[in-house]
Amino acid sequence: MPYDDDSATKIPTQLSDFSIDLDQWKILKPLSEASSEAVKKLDIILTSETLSAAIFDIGEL
Amino acid sequence: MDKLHQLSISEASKLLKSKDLSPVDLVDAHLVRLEETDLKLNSFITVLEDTARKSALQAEKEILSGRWRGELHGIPIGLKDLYYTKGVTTTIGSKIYKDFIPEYDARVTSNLTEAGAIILGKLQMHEFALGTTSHNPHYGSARNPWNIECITGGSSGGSGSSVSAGQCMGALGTDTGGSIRIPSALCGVVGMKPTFGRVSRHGVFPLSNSLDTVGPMTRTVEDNAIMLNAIAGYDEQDSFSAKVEVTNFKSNLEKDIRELKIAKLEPYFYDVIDPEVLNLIDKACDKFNGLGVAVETVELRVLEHTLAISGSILLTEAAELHSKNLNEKAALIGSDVKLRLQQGALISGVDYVKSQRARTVYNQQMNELLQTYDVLLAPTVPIPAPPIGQDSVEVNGRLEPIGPLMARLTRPQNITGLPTISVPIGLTSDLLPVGMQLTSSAFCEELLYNVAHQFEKVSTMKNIIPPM
Repeated sequence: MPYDDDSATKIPTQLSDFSIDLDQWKILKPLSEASSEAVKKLDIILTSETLSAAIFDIGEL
Repeated sequence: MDKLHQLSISEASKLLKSKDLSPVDLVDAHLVRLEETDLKLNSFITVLEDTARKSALQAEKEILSGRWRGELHGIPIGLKDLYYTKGVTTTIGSKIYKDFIPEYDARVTSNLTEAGAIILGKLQMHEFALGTTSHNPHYGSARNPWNIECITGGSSGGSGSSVSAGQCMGALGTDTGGSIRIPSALCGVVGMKPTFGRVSRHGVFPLSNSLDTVGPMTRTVEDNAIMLNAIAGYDEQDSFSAKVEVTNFKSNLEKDIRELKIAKLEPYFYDVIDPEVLNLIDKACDKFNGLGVAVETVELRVLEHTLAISGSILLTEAAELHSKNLNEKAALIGSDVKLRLQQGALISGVDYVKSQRARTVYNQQMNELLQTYDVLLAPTVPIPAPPIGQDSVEVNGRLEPIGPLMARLTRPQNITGLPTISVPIGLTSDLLPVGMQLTSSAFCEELLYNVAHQFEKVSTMKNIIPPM
């Protein structure tokens, strides 16, 4: 079945460290993809000069 | 004084100081109230009846001999069950930690006991503080005193429920995505998420290192300031603790607020909202206008990225903190929390860093707004407390999942780390409380207490204990 999308029936091996089984993988895969898509949209507000220093600014006030 | 559990901290404190009230009687009254109501509410995981009575006797001796320690001396309080208490079980709302007994007190536990507060017990919470309902598969659901069929909100659900019902006079919660403010709003109490770094987290079981904050929940604004006075300050044992001067948070309560400018941010805070919540927010704005404060509507589009930023940072940090539990003891974790932790484990390092970078832009825009406005105003939770066990709710004809909706409006202030107070603003037609949150620049909690106190004076929701 070369044209079947079998990604939903295979779990990346490293995920066993997080006790993810096949049933959970089916739930988690779309959640994970949706989260990644939302993060991609952050490119709209980022430039290459944007640093990751937000939380330290507060401590120094 | 036959209803001592109805007193506020400030009222009780005056009576204790003048020796017109004994801490023993005050603690007894709250233990009786707890016994009468906790079968219905399930607010407490552990009740410390014997040690509370001993501490009350000690407080009585000290006060009678002229050694009054301050406004919390002899005041019965509760701690969310993730604050370390030496020799007392601290479960983190989890089966994994059901027998965990810390060998030391959290910094804030010590702060409060040194101020003379009496700890009645450890309070119910969402497992690992990773959830907004306080429906806990191991210790049962915390129930809302306004309607015991409804959720308290979470994760500090037991704190909200116990303070609201008069089981204790104040409590500590923690707030990573809204966990102090959500139950405060749904249970009708005042909750303060202080500036990130304002209060030590030493000895507080973590969830997300760059978002976690510690704060008080009470029935009045003044009581809240009294509790923050006892716990705020630099602590070298918390690496994110801020070296910032701590003043008396009560000192500006009565200051005139007429010159202040408040911004009401749109559209994010109002695009998914129950009509009754919206109506009460409009009335709250009218009250501010009546107090001579200008409330202006301002558009801030960066808020649209709230869930992307907050979700990836919170879940990744939580998954890292619990990676051993997830690997070795996953079967002992409740299904909802396990799923969230696994979701966090799947977030890539690239996405995490991108979210932290976006956080910089987000915070810059919020801070710029606070150069023009003194306070930002928003609803705390877009809906009143839903029934326990319900997964979704209809808002303006659309079915919305309850989990993400609960924390939708509270996450922005965890991203920025800015101080935010939630105050009750009224009841819905079903007699469920609604909260409003006020945000200021970093380390301006005094201003928030001032504005919230002035609002409270024209509100009908001060120190209200629901009939039950």
